[in-house]
Amino acid sequence: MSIVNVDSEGYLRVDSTLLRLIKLLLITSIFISISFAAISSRLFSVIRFESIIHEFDPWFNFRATKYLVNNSFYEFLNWFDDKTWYPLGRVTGGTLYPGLMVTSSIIFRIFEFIGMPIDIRNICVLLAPAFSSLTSLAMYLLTLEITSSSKNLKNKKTAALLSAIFMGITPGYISRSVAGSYDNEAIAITLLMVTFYLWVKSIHLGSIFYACLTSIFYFYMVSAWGGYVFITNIIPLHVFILLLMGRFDYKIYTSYTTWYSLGTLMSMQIPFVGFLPIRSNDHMASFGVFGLLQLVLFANYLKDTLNPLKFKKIMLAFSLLITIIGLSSLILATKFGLIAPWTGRFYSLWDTNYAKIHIPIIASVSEHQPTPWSSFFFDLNFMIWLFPVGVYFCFQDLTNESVFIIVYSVLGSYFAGVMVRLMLTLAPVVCVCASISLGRLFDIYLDFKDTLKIWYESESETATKETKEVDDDDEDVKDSIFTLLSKLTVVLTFIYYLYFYVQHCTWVTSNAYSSPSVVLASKNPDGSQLLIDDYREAYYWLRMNTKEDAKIMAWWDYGYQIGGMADRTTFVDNNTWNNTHIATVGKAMSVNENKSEIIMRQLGVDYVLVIFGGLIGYSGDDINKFLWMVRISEGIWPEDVNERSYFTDKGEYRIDDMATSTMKESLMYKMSYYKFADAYGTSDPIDRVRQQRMSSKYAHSITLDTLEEAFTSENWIVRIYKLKDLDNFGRDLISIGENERKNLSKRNKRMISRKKPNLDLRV
Amino acid sequence: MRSVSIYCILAYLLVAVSALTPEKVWENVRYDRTLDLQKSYAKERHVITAKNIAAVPISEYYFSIPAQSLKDISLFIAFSGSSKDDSSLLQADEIVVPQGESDSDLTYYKLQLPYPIAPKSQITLTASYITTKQLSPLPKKADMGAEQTLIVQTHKLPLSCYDTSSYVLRVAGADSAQELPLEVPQGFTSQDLKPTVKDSTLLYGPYSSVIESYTKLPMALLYSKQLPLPVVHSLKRDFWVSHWSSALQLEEYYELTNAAVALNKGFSRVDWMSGRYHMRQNPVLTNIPIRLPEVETSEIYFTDKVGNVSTSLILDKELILKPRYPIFGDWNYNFTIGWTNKLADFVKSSDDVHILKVPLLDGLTDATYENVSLSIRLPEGSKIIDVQVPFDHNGMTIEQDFSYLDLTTGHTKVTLEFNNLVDEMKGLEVLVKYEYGTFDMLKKPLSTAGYVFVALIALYALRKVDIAIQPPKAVESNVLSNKK
Repeated sequence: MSIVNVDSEGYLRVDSTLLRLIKLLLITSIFISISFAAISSRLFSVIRFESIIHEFDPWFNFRATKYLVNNSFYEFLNWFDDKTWYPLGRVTGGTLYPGLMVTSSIIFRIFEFIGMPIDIRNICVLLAPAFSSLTSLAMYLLTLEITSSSKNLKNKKTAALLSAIFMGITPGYISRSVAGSYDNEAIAITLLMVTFYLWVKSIHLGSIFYACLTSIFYFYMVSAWGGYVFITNIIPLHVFILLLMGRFDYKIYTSYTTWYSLGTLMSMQIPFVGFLPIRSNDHMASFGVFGLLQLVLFANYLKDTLNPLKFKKIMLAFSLLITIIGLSSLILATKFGLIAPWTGRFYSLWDTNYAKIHIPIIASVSEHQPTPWSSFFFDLNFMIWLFPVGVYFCFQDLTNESVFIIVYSVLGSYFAGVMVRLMLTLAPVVCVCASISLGRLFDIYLDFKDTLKIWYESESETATKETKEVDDDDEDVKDSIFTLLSKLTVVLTFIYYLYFYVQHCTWVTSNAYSSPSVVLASKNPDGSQLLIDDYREAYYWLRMNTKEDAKIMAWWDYGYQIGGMADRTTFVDNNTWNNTHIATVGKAMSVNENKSEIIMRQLGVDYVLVIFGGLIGYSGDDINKFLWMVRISEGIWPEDVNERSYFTDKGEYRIDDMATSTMKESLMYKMSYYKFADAYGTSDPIDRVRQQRMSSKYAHSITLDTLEEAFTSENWIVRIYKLKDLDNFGRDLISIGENERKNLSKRNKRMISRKKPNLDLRV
Repeated sequence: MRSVSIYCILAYLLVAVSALTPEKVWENVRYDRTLDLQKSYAKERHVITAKNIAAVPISEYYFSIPAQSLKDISLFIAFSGSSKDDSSLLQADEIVVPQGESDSDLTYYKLQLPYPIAPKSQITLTASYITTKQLSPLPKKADMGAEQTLIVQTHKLPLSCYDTSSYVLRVAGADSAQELPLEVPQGFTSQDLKPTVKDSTLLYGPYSSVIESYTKLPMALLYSKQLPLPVVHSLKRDFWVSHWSSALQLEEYYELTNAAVALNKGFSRVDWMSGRYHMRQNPVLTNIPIRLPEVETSEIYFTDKVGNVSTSLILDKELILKPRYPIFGDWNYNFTIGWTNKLADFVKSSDDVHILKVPLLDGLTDATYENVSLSIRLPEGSKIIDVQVPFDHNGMTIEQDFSYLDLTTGHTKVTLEFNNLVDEMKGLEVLVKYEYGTFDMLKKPLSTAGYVFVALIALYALRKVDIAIQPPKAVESNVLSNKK
């Protein structure tokens, strides 16, 4: 028997094993290319720059990973870091999500075991791209599972593969998973998708096995990212909605109770989470649904045994009682402090202005800002308008699985609208929905069977009998041509959209998301690339040329980088656990030299580091962040620091001659513009970021007495000052400086006056 | 390590037993001494014509140097004759004079003469050595752009244990030197022995009056030098030999400090920018030229502990490193450089025996190296036959080390430790003779392939294991439906 046959009706018959093989081969190669696309589009930063850890938080993760690799796991869990939050220190082992570090150290150990001692930095840098290819695989499975019982969608695998490629290259996900952005999200999104897939699968099958797997991956997720709360709430919500829809069955019961009990127990093993699952309000929903399921089960049992009237009465009484008991116990427990109060980050999820008013430290992070509309298109491209269509199709199916997608899409869209960085959790569901709608579309418009059939028939008919009913056949063929044309139009349009999507993703990735932000790229006048490497220059200077126990004061943004690159002790860092400490540093920066010196001496500061972009026009500098320092310290010391006094009477934020005296006297201002005028000689210095011109005379009068310039990087981006030692004679450093200046100006005058007679003599 | 220290103690005991004050059996008829200060360390060259004034033939000459500078002596070479061409190297044994002896601030090299010198005959000897850490800036701190002055302390007259009848001291590289007034011993006045400048060298003498043995006239020279004094505290040099890719990779890790004059205030970028210091000589390290091997060199890189440094330049056969920041006096900069060469340029092979010849040092053009650890990593399975080093090392270890795909015994790693080297030893070479056959070469890919095969088979076998709780009915029905 040959592989390909022509049967009696003239159809081509292909052996099913061969077909299956071809299919397998196709799917495998598609997956390989998806992985390739997902990984390679994340490598822009490595190719453009180098294999380097990006931004801020990844530097901490990297440092923690190095600690884990060099010490044992238990030492890591008990790690007390005395190099941060001086003099408080940080119980690092108990205040981090260890999933990421453990993952990369396991990968490191495996590679070491098989004789490939790869540098831990390279593993950390490439972890996110590697996991992104796994994410697209998980997306494929998730979409396949969601559409598995859908009656409307025919080519389920097409949709699933589409969702995989969408997920692989969507900028919304790439933004957090380029090579080098070694952050919790790098693995968390993968885990999120796997957990969701397993959850949908377990609810579909009612399988304890899959529910166990769900809880294991839930545990992994808890260990990796604080965003696990998203799962903790979305799964109960899904179940709750299914209950409201009257979809209760034992499959749901089995899956949910298994997941909840195992998952909660396991999640409590993470030191940072600890007893939160039974104390924090964030976890109450899952607990409530767990209880509710038991009640529903009990009610079901009663329904079977009692007569309907009695049942109704009992139900009413019970539900009233339970609502009252539940609510009052919740309120009481919150009141007595048994349950932790809602966190600020949680409030800011509901009220976008909450953080701005109450917790400036959260609002000061750019990724916590509300999302602008344009970024939806920027991050999701054409999927953003396919997304509602997909949700509509889910409503059409309304299987248990598609209800999950509906719940996810509603929650995801809301959260993505509140915070820029939660775009990340929206991206997967958008990919699923877009792929479902595209799958439906392609089901219809890529189906040329009818047209081909009509053509074939008419051809064979014209070939055999030319006489009969030619007109009728012509009509058919004409119709089919129009159908074909319209189908082709739609298909071609969407192929163009797909093409455009890929192009857009590549463009966005390469232009917006591939900068390490530690190294800045600029252009030389001749167009060649110029790297501005000031951060590393200054951090490395600190590492090489300061005492090993030197304490460096900088704004908290740079804490992790100083810890990671300069290896020196910091006061505050990006783990913003102590608002007062941050406010103290903020106050030291925002008050005048006199007051600031007292704070700095009390803190034990050796060096102060500021970021200044005024010389080359780098806008992310400390003067632009200065208002946040002022605001945060005002929150603690409203009598010493007042935001209004940093603005001119007209309400302008000025740094030139017109700046307010509070501004001019503040330490941050002085540190930024100290000797700035000298770089311009006698002409007026211009701040290129704020586009303000200072008069040369004024700019030359900016002085610093308590600090001494220790280092300034090549483009002045990083300026490091050393706190001067106390005067041996117990004099005030500021008055010494003033005296010196007075003497100097006297001497200058004398020199000028001496010059004149000299000239006269020569004449 | 332990055996080494035991030998040290033994040697010390032996020497202590035989400790002696050399007898005055020679007279230095002519003593020409040159102190070369052109580099960042001091080089001395003593050309001595000695006459046997004893009654018997003598075959040893004791050359004395100050005891405290013995540990800083980088390389001591003595030969007979006055130039290297018509000469033979002399064996020079260090003699440690134990504490408490009369002249304990002197130590000696016993030079074994090529033949015993008859009474009243003469011989010309040359002793040349390099002393590190002799130059230091004075004042230690200065403003940016201020002129750097270095101080070197030495003795103006020969420290010989024999009388000297004619003596000349030349100081090269310090023509504008200034002598610091020091307390002079009795019998001298500070006005004694004024130098003259000739051909940009400082010339003391010639003195034709007899200088008695053990005469000490300390002198301190202050001279201006506008160059950095690079000191490499630690250099790790790793050669990776790969026969499969026929490549020799070198990776060097430097811990560099500039021993020149330090800044007396913080570093002011504005002053640095406006001073245009890169236009003229100054004691700041702004770029580090590294000589590349004469043969084809590829994959050159320059990194430090925070990543790649993009500011390096390759000019012809020279790699010019620009550190992240200018290295002022007392500033440190640790960095790593590396490159790849073709193995054939460094290895000579006959059958399974190979001889690898690598330079002792590449790197900086003018620098002192305190600790150098040179290791050569030979492929897995190679056996070392012989290691040849041009001069004494401080310890050699041969160990097995595990690295890329070393799954069986690990590769062979030879580590040589050196102390107190200077860049002038760049030409010296280390030879390693080792055996590495075709079978050893094939062993690695075969064993790797074997492991992969075992892993795949294990995976296949695991997939065959049925862990389903359900009875395998469903599978059968599937098969049936397929058959339909």
